[in-house]
Amino acid sequence: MAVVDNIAEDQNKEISELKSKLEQAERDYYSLVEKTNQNLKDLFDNSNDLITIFKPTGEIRFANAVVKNKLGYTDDEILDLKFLEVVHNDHRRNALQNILKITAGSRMERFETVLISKSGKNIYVTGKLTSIFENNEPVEYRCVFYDISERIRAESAQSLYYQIANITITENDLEHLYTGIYDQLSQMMMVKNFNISLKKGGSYTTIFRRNENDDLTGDVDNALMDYAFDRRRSLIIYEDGIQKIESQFKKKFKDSMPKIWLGVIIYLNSRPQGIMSVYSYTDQSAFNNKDLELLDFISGQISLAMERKEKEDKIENQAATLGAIFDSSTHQIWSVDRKLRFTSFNHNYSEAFKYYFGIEPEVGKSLFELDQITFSDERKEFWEDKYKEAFQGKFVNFQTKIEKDKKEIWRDVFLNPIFLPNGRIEELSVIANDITDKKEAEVALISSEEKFRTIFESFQDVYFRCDMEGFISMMSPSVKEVLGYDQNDMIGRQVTDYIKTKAPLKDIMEKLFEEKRLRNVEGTVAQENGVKLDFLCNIRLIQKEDGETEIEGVGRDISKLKETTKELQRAKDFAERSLKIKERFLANMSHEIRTPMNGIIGMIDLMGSTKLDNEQSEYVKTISKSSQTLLNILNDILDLSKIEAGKMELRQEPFRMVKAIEKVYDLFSQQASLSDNVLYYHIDERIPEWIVSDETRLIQVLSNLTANAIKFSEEKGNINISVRLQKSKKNKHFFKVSIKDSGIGISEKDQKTLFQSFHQLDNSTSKNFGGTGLGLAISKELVKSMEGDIGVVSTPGLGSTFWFTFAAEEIDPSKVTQIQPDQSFTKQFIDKAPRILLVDDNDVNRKVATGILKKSGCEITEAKDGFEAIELVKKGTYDLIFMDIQMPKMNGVKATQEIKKLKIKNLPPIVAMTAYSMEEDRQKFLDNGLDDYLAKPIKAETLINKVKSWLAFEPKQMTTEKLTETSEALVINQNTINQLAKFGGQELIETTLVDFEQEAEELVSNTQKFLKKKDYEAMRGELHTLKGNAGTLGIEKLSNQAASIEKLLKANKFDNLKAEVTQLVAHFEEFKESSQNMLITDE
Amino acid sequence: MSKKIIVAEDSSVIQNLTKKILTQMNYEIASVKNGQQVLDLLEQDSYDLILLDIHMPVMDGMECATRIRNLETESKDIPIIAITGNANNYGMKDFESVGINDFIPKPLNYDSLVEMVRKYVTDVN
Repeated sequence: MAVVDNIAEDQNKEISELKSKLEQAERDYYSLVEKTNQNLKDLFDNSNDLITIFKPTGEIRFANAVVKNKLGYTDDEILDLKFLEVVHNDHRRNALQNILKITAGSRMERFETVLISKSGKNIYVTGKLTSIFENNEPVEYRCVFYDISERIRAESAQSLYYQIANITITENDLEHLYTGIYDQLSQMMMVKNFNISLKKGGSYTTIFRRNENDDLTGDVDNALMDYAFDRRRSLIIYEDGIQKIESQFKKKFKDSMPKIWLGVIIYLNSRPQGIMSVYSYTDQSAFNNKDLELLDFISGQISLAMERKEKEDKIENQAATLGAIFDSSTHQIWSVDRKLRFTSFNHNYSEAFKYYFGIEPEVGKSLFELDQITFSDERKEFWEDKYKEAFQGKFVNFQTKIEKDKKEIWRDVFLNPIFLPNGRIEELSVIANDITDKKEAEVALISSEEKFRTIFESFQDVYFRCDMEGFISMMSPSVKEVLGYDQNDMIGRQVTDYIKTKAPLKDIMEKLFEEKRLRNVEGTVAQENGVKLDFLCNIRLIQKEDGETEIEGVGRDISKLKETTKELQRAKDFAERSLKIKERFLANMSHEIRTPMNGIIGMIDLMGSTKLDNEQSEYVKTISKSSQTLLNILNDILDLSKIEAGKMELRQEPFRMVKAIEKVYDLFSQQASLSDNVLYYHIDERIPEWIVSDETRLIQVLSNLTANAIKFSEEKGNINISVRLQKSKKNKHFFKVSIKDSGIGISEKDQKTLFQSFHQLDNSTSKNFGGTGLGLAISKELVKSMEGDIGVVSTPGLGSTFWFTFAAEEIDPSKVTQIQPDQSFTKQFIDKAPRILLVDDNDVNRKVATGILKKSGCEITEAKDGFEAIELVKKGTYDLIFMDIQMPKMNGVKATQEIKKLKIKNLPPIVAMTAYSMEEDRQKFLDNGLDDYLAKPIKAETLINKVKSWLAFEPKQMTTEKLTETSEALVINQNTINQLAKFGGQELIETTLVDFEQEAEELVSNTQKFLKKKDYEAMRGELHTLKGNAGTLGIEKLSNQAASIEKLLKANKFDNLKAEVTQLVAHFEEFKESSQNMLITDE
Repeated sequence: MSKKIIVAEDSSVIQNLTKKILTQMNYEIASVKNGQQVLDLLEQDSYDLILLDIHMPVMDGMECATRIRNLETESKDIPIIAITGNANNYGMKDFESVGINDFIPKPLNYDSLVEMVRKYVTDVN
């Protein structure tokens, strides 16, 4: 063990040696280390880096001077701290993790964290953190950091600039902008108090505020803001400065004072408008000059934003206004791009478009692309041309029309190129205006102007216009033709240069001013060659658009007219004088002729009643006929002269239309049958029973035409009178009467002259048919006065239809009786011969009347005038007085009135005797006290009938029979047979005729039979029945023959019976044939 | 009730005609051809008027009228109107002597026929 001990000893010795060596080495080493440490320490302290060494427990073993400086700790203080305690709270976790990573052996190129100073200031650092291991155990951590706070600040400032600029650009809402700015500031600069105020007047309006204190009065703010604002400078004010300001303002601030306050001016449109401030209540070093710069920048941004906002608002307003204008405009507004696609349009355009095309326009589509619309190539080309022109930079204006619903819609279109700043044109704006009304007015104006011009230029009269002083401003071209002056030469000259009227114009002018217009002003105007013309002018005042008054007029040359008028007047005077002479002559003549006519006709009547032999009777008949014709002619001439003198007056009295026609029928049926013609008449059922018209004149016309028809008809013809109702207006009716014959007819040429006075168809005819040729002319005039017309339709050889129309009013039959004059005298019964007083100044007339009346058994007293008559009436008693009207000394009317005044008991009726020409005056006589009326010339029959109508008097038989025309009897008198129709219509006529034929057959054969047997008494009985029956039915020939045989038998004249009976049979056969015809015709 | 009239007339033409016209006027007509038949009718019934032809076979109008006026019935006062062609030149005096009230001449005028009848027969129609 010794060995071991030795060895051990040796070893111990060796160990101790080694130990001492090692200790020496260690001492050397440590002294070296210490030296080195001191050197290093100096080195570290002089370095700019922050160097810290801490133990794994975290205790700081070493911190160089820089660290102590930055963190604000003393040597002793810092060595009491742990590393993590100087790391910013927010970064501790991260720092610890990194330390653990390093402890675990990771290498870390860069360690970044934030340290916090004793005063709480952040110090951004970056650097290396290394761990020292001993025996795989970390013994120490070494940090070498450098301060990057400035860099971080710069970076964050840059970021802030960027962020704020970004917010300014993106954020339109100012409130959001301010909030955004504040968020950035608080984030980057730890700003907790932020204020933006605008100065308006003397006070500040806070538009944004963030403050740690809630209950601010703003007194500090306001004072500081005023301070900065007055200096127009951005300022940093510290607490002591604030206190100075407080004392300067001599007041005590209520709000707590910030340690530091930064304020920058906000400029709007280059004028200081407000202040933005940032401050801290805790850290005086919270901000520096760099922050002030940042705030300056921010205020600039805010200014921009505010300005922009202001502009935007303005623009928005303007845009809204423009938009409103755009849409509410009554114009159609739209815009198109280069491809003619709509880029916009207003409401009005859209509406119009919809109306024109039925669809709405669409943005982005071209008008020509809308396939619902078919455009004519022409129209498309037109628009494209216009657009193209505008795209070349021209303003284009044109008018165009669209046809819609058959209407033309006119638009006034303006194409305006929209110039971009670079001068390019990408769009056109189009404004269109509906000018249809204007256009129509324009068109109307143009046409009326044209019309006016045409009228003006083709005017025959002279149109002029002049001002109030007479200077001519307008003159129609016609003046050249009328006066010889050139229209243009006259303009500007005075009217008085041309007017040569003697009377002063002044009077006319005064009247013109008073009445505004004058018509038919006559004046004298000089022609260019000096000749004076008579002018007739219409002039008036006109108000021009500019308010001035002018005189306008139209003049006409009436020189020729005046001359013509004068000549006409002369001619008229002459004609009237001639006419008067003619009238007077006719009136005289008619009176002169009428008197001898009275004598002739009356005496012939009387002569006819005397005993005459056959020859004499024949002569008398001829004279009677001739004088009757002469009287008719005379009447015609009188009528015509009266009509021509305009003295024909119609008598308007009620009468029955049917009666009038029947009268004509009765008058002419005989005459017609003489020429072997049959007269028919037909009356329209619609014709009123009673009408008011002049019956006499109507019958006259009808008679004229009927007489003509008979006259010009050859044998075995028909004459048909028909009356039709043409139309009715209330009570007034228009009638058409036609008289159709089957006569010789009238050529077209003759038809034209037919109704002229004194006209008859060729002489040969007039010789054949006689007459004055006045009938138609008279008829024409009469019909005219009855609102009618007359005419003829004829085919030569086939007959003519004469027609006339007339108007008359209908009258209720119940009123008729009242209208008719009542007869005051009733028929007086006379036992003995009637005593008649005849008053007439004309000897012949008296002789005629006396002759007739005496013959018929009257007692006659004659008076030559009214006085004589009155005397006679006073003395004697008369049953009837005939009173001539036209008498010298005292006329008939006067005499009658005198007689009536006598108040004689049983005063006789007084009958006026008047000329035919005074027939219209009949009513006048009756009104004047006369009781009745008798037309001259006097005829025996009418005179006696008149006596009979007043007195119950049976005149002595007068053989006037001889004088009445032995009118040949008719086979069947249509008129008589027609009477039957009243009772039983056509049927009764037919059955009766059939009955008659059967019975007559027997009667006739019996007559023949008895004749053979010579049984005259029986024969007479048969004939008597036949006579009566045939007569009743108007079978005249047969009836007459039966009567004449009966007469022979009665007179016992049996010689010629056989022949007479043969004649009877012949008449019966004739009747049978006629009746057959009639029945057939009537069917 | 219609008034009743006898028409005595040997001529069927006149008889029929008269009958038709008067029927039309709403009279009731009995027609016969001679005077005897008139008397026969009056025995059976009463009438208002007789239109009597003068010239008739068997019994003429004059005879017939005389007989009627001598009847002992109410019919003796019936109005009698003669229809005459006046073959025998009778005057009004002759007619009156046999009791005829009035006369209508032949040829017959229809209007005067109706008028005459109305004059004697006041018709209630």
